[in-house]
Amino acid sequence: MRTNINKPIETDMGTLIQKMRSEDKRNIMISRNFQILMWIMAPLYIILFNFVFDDINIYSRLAGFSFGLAFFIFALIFRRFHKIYSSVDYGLPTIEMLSKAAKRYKMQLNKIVLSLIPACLVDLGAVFVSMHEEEENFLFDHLITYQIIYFSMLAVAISIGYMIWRHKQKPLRDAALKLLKEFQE
Amino acid sequence: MDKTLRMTIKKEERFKQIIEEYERLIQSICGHYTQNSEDRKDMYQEILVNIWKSLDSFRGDSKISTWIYRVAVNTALNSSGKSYRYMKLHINSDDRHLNMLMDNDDELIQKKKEEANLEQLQIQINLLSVIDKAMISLMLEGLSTREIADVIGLTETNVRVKIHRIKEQLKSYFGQVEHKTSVKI
Repeated sequence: MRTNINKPIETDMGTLIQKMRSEDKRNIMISRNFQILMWIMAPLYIILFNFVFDDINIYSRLAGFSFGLAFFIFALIFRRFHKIYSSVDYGLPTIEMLSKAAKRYKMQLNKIVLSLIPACLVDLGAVFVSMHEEEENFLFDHLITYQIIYFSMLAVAISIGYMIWRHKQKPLRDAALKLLKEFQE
Repeated sequence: MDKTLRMTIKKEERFKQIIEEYERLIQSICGHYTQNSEDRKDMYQEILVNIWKSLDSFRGDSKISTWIYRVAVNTALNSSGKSYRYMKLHINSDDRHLNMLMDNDDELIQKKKEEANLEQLQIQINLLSVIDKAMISLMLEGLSTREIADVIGLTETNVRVKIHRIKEQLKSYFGQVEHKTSVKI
């Protein structure tokens, strides 16, 4: 049965290589630019809230440090996750590749907690900013209202993230696990 | 010359060398996993892209051909995304190592070269698990059990057991067909 078409596949190698090089360059640039932005924003916020703005007090300093720390942690998280998700090695033995894929697409609580830390620091910074601005008129009610809104939005963002994971990554993880199980049988 | 540019040029030369040397091997693998010429071309390009992406990670700890087979098989498994189970394997009478699927039984080899039996063989093969199909594709390429073990990441014994089981399954089916045919006569 001649089901196989033996005609050689023609590919424009020059164009393909150029395309791959451009994509490599673009990915490196996006990652690098984003990290540079974070590394600039972190000290910038600390400087702004501690030395530049008018009427600097303890609340503005705390706000500056909170925002700065949030950007710093966010930059570290981005660098770590970018490394994990962008470097898939297809040259690994199949079983090893599937194990790594299953691990990569697992919903891990520690990843979620890690991502919440800068989110909470941003919230803390915003609270300090409002305490700084409203100092004498600071109302606890405003704080509660703000927290409800902020954490509701955060909950929506987490839900969207979960749905994306469930529809895109969980099937890949399940498929990888199924294949691994078949290998072990 | 900029260090990055030198490294990119070196990578490009290495990539071209690999493709020139192993083009037939890659195209042969594509022929097993896809029937349609457009799909073959897409898979071929995807394998080339993954070779490029994984080239920096290749440390020479395996033969280059083993590494290419790994990339090709892993790409084929991944290209169906979550639909690994829908992966179809295609064989034809030109496959040089078709006899490796059945132990040397001249009568059966003769029979299976007939159009109808080959079609049945393909149907039976595609009832096997995705892993078994991936291993068959490597057997059809003439790889030894040791080489298949290196590609997949199993032990040689494990591969031998799985291959034996596949052969027994196929032999049992064709044995039954032959018996039914002779009884009918």
